[in-house]
Amino acid sequence: MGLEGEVAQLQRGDLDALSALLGRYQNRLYRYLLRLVREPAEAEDLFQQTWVRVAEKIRQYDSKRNFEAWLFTLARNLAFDHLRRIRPESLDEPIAGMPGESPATRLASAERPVLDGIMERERTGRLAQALELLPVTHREVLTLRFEEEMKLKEIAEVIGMPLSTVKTRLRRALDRLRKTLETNYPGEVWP
Amino acid sequence: MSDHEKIRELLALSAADALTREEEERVMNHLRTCAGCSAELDNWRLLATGMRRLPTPQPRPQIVERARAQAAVRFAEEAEHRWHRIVMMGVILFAWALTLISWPVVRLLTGGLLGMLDPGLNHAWLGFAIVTTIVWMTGGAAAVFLSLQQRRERSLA
Amino acid sequence: MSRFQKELGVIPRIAWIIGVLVYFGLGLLLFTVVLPSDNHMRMWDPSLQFLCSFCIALVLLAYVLLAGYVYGDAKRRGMRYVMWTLLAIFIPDGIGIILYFILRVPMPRPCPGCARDVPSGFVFCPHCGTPLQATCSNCGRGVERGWSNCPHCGTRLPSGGVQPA
Repeated sequence: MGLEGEVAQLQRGDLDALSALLGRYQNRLYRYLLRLVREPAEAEDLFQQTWVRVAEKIRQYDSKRNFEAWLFTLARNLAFDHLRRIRPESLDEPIAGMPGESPATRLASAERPVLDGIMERERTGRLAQALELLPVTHREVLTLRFEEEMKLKEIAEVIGMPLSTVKTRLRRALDRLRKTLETNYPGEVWP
Repeated sequence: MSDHEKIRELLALSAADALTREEEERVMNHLRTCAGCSAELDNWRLLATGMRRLPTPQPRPQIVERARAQAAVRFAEEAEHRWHRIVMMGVILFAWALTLISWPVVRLLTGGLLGMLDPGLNHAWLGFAIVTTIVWMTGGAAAVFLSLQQRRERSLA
Repeated sequence: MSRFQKELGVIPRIAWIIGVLVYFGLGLLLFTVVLPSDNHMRMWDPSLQFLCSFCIALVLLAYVLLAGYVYGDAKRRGMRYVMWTLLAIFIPDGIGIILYFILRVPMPRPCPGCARDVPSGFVFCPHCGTPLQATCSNCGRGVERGWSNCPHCGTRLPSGGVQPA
């Protein structure tokens, strides 16, 4: 039973299709939410809410659209609403390229609690840790491109921005990720 | 901005496979002659590979199960709403059918009676109007009474 | 079994019996006595008279069956089924039936703790005390997830989801 068949069945109310889709997307969706909110407990709660939303809105889903983009957009909207309520400051866009300012040091002052928290909780990989230091919009494009392996067009659909913005953000995110790694772990870094 | 710097900007995106064919060709052409940019691209490629190889965090099974259960409940609720809407439409159509049928029935029953009382009263439309008005007023009164009663019961719960 | 068939099963058997009797009885009565007595209608083609009689009788059959449904459905929902059935029958033009469908309460649901049916709207199971819904930590009344404040006492509710349910 292919994805399209499962989605069509879900629209007719078949709960087996729900289990099938859950199985297909559970890891990817959870990973995406975790990258956005960084807290496993919150990601778990949002995961449940996303699937309830799917149940609510599946009948309005237009089968011509890309299902994955639709699903991830639902999750994204919930995640951002959540962040806006709980930690609105985490949504602030970084100030673009001020001369002489290292992003990592500026981040450390605004997000020191997060960094300490990371050291306390065991996280594998300095790359993952560096990723958590980036602003949410950067984390988002990085995970969608490299972990979800979405095409740029799909990423544009999920985040609701034009393709050019996706490319710019991706480039800035990569730059920042690299600078963060170099600042926090000078020397050879890749795990 | 020199060509070199422009290519530098594209290197990260190249490692991410995010360039158009023309841009990719430009980069490749430049790299043939520039070792510095080649080394840079290798660095970016390492980073990209690292990103792709990040371990996938997985949700706990009980979370997935709870999500499934909650979504299933929602599905049942939605199905219930849709069914309820169909039933309401059916019942309202039925009520209209009853109203329309009551007119010839009233006519049949009273055409004779009223005609006997006074030929002038044998006006079908008047009969229909009176019957329908009485019915709607009864219905309206019943609706108000029942809603108030139900609201009182709910607020006590 | 489709949803419609499942709901038909709620109608008590006696309603079916009465309905069928009424259908044929009224149909015959209309066809043989009432229609011919009317000055206009007796002129109609007999097959039209037949159709007219039995269509009207069909509406009455539906009426009986709907009243039966109200009886059975109100009973299984724990409502005052005698009152509602009478209202459905006697408020004219089917308005009673419409009112029933608007005002009926949701189905009782099984308690996750003891599996017995509990009427909707309850916050705790009356048999085993298991919470059926998230509750406010201050006043104990039922609240829904997604709310930031309790609507009864105003206390702030924890954000990451309240309590079991």
